[in-house]
Amino acid sequence: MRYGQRLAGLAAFATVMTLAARLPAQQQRQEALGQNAALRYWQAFAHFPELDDRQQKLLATPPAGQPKLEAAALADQGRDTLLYLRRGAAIPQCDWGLHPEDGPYLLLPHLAKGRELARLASLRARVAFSQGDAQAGVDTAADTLVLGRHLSGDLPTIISYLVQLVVERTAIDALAAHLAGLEPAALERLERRLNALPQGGSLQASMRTERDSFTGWAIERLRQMNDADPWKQQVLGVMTAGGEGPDLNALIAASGGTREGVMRQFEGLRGYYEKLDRILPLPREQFVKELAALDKQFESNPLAKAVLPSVQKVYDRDAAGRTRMTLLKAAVAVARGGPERAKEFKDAAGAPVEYSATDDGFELRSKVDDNGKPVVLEVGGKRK
Amino acid sequence: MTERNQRPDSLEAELRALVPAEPSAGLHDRVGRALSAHAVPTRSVSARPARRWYVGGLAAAACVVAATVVWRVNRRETHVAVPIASTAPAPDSTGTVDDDLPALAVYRRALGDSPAALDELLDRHAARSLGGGARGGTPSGRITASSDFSLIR
Repeated sequence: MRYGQRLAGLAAFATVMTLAARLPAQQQRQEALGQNAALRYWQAFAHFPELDDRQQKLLATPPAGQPKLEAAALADQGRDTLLYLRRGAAIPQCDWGLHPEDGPYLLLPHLAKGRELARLASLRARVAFSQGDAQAGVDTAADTLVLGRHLSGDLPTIISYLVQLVVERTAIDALAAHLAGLEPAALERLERRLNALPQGGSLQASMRTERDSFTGWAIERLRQMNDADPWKQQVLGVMTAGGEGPDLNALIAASGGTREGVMRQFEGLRGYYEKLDRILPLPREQFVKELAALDKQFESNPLAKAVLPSVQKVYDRDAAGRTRMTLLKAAVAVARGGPERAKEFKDAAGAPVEYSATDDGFELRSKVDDNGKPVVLEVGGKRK
Repeated sequence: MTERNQRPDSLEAELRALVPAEPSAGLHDRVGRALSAHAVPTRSVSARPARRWYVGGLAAAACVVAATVVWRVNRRETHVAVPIASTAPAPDSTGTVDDDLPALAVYRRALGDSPAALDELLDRHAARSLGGGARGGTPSGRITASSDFSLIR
């Protein structure tokens, strides 16, 4: 073969390889665009059935015991929405496309819808268990847990984290009522799904978002605005609006009466969040003490009361939520391996989980309080 | 032998003297020019590899150009600089946010009142914005992605 032919052949091969390399890359980009769970969840919201008042109440407060026909009919109405919940829960990444630069004006339309979807899914799980379809019950409840994590994962605010905990509780309660009677295959499946849950939000992450969305945002906006701009209403007004909030003009006067003065007070609050970040991991007793000292240290800042979050409430909800998830995992371990397995698990206070048998299954108890009562998981469904 | 055979023939002598004249240089030139004008081109052995080199080089250059175009189009598709208009919000000058909006400030305010107030607000927002799907009863006549397709023959 002559040299010219060899050269032409080599160049043709290189061209073909370049084209061939481009095609999979293009395909990958197309596929990557679709790999966002939020796109499926929004379709689930779009398919959500229209509910009357009775059905709304049924979702908000599911009756104890075996679900009635009405519940089964409602779950059936939600088939399409639950299909898209399943599809969304199968995708690891979830990006709701939020705009943190909006600060306190940030819109979170997915939270209320997500919470409602979780209620419908938990109802479906209960119906499935009552009909003997353990796999459907386990999968739907696990999908709900994933949804909870996804609601808060990409930008964990205090609100989205609290909704995550509420959604998790809904799913945990649906599972616990039947867990003692599940077959080994269903338990194994549930354990695998629990071990693969996405990370979700956390107490510390949500406090950092809180800092950036209020104090950080306010400092940036005040810096950009001029004295003639409506900074009083737009920046401070949104944080103090509400019937019982502090008077806006009084706050500004106490901050020196100027835009720069208010900005300096906001800057002074940065130190609060730095110290808060350090004390959040502490055990409750120590945390409460340190928080009291921290609040006292900053009470001279006129903006503190209006701007800083109610940390104590969120701390307790976080501890209760994490403990509930631990109790669920402990319940699966006990159902698979016997009561002795309970001691392997510790609640958010660091105390080992306590087991006691019941007629219907067993009970797991913690030392963590939720609204004055210890967090307890009653596990039922024991086969007679 | 007769006397006629022995005596040189004058005609023969004259014929013997008629030898072709040598062509002139001018004639050579004219013939040569005439032949060149009507000649069929033929390649010489030494010109053939150069021609193939030339074609091969052109083909190689064409492939490189094609690959470069493909690569640049690929880059353009991934690195198109799309001018994005600023989407920063223009907050209401009064600084208030309607309670009907699912805004961070609204939820935070509700939580500040009580967890029950937050629950109630979330319920209200959900009831207002969901419910675009099936309307009451079993959607028996409606085929959707979740339908049991084994029913279709």
